[in-house]
Amino acid sequence: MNKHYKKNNIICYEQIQKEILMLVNEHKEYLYWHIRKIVISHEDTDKVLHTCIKIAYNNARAINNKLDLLKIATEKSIDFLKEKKENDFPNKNISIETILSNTLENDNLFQASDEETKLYAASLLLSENQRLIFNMKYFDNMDYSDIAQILEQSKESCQRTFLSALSKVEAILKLY
Amino acid sequence: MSKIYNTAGNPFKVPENYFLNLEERIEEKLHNTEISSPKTSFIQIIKPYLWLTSVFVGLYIFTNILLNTKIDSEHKIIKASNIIPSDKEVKLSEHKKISNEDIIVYLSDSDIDSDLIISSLQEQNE
Repeated sequence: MNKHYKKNNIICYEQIQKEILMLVNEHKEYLYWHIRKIVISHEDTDKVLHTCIKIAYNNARAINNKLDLLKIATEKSIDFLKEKKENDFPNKNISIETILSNTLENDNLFQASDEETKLYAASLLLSENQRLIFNMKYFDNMDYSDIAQILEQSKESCQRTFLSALSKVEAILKLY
Repeated sequence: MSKIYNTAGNPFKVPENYFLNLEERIEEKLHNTEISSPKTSFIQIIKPYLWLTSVFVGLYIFTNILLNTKIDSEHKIIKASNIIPSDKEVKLSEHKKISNEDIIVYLSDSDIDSDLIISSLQEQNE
């Protein structure tokens, strides 16, 4: 009985994994751009994207929809940035925001007008939480309920954070 | 919500045909790496039986404690009923059928001062 149970369990799990693969392929571009706005560099985005897909594939039972994928993508992007700071700048007292600003400045695949460059540069000066919420609300126009689910925060907290991020970005842009 | 700038279009670009090849690359990477399937460990197999056993053991211990407290309380009631005196006042001599002579012999044999006995009796009479 145990062998049958195990066999059926494996077959069911393989089917779930196939469904996850379909879900990933359906939303791969959206995932890519979500990660790209966090890590900025295309090469880093590619690495993080493959990591996320592998995690989703190996934890197929826990993934139900696009929001679950975005949650993994957000967590892995943040982890990647922290690892990058530790590996590339181990002894230097440099912030992740500074690293990202340098990446943006030197990225050949970032082709923006002056205004857009200033806007993205200003968004990189926000704190980690503010920047995540600002990206999702301002650039992707996501609902607060979805943002709250991804970041595991309350809807009201996300709203407040976004408004403070928006006012901060406006203040920075006025300085330019 | 008003846009700060009119950011029409995405300023971030990707290499040519990146998304076209992405699906193939994803599948290739997933098949090259080890794909984990759910492993049913020994503990997972015996977990439901362990749970059942613990339920029965818990029930057994609980009923034992309950029964023991009942028996103990019954024993206490029996003991208490032996200690509690009846409503009627019972004199020691009548209850135990001890004669006054026996009492006198006992008092004389013991080292109690006779003056003390007399003074206490007088106090009682008063």
